[in-house]
Amino acid sequence: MVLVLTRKKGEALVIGDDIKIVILSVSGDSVKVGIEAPRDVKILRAELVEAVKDINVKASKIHMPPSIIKRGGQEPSPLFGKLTVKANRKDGD
Amino acid sequence: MIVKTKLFGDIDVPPESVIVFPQGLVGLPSLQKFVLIQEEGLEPFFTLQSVDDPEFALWIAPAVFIDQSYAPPVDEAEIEDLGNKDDILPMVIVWTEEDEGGNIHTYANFKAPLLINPTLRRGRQVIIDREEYLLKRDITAVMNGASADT
Repeated sequence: MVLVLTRKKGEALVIGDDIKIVILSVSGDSVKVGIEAPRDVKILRAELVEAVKDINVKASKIHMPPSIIKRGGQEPSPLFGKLTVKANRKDGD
Repeated sequence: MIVKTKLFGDIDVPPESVIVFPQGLVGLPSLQKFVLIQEEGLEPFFTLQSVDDPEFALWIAPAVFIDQSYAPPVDEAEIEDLGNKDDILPMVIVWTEEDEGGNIHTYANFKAPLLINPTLRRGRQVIIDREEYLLKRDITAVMNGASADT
């Protein structure tokens, strides 16, 4: 469900208890907004989040050939020792 | 516990090896549990295998392995639940693409690293909203053995 509201320059919206969005200016098809929010509220442009998601999905579908790693065989951080699970690929993939 | 994977078949994973991303990955909030799989000779590259989805696996490497100077500015409030800051290791997602000439390039995402605290077994993917942190950085030369600084 999408709530649609019309606001004029200088007017604002409040979301919940501690987020305020102010329309600062409108020029052509650009709208400048100011956002007041607590520090732990992450504010990002939607297309950036979408681009990160796209790479997550794309990278998960590309199974890198081990041969690409020419600098392998190095010691990872000892912190990882307890965490990693050793496995071999199926079918010598 | 047995974890089903497309790449490695069914693998036996001690429950204490499961890493939890409470928010999931960016854009994929349902993927919250992962296992770090290490293959002989490929360290420090790992496969981050989803426990929930056998088909979902990412290649990751410690960011400092590729770029020693990597120190992303992360908001403290964002990583509060990741425990001691000094225990957090930034990892980058690595993948390959073929260019038009048929050459294979390797890329890494330095804009949205996975911050993992191995002691707490907890992780979070954060977005560094600054231009100099690239979403798709060509690391082919580094993979071929060049120093990351060149």
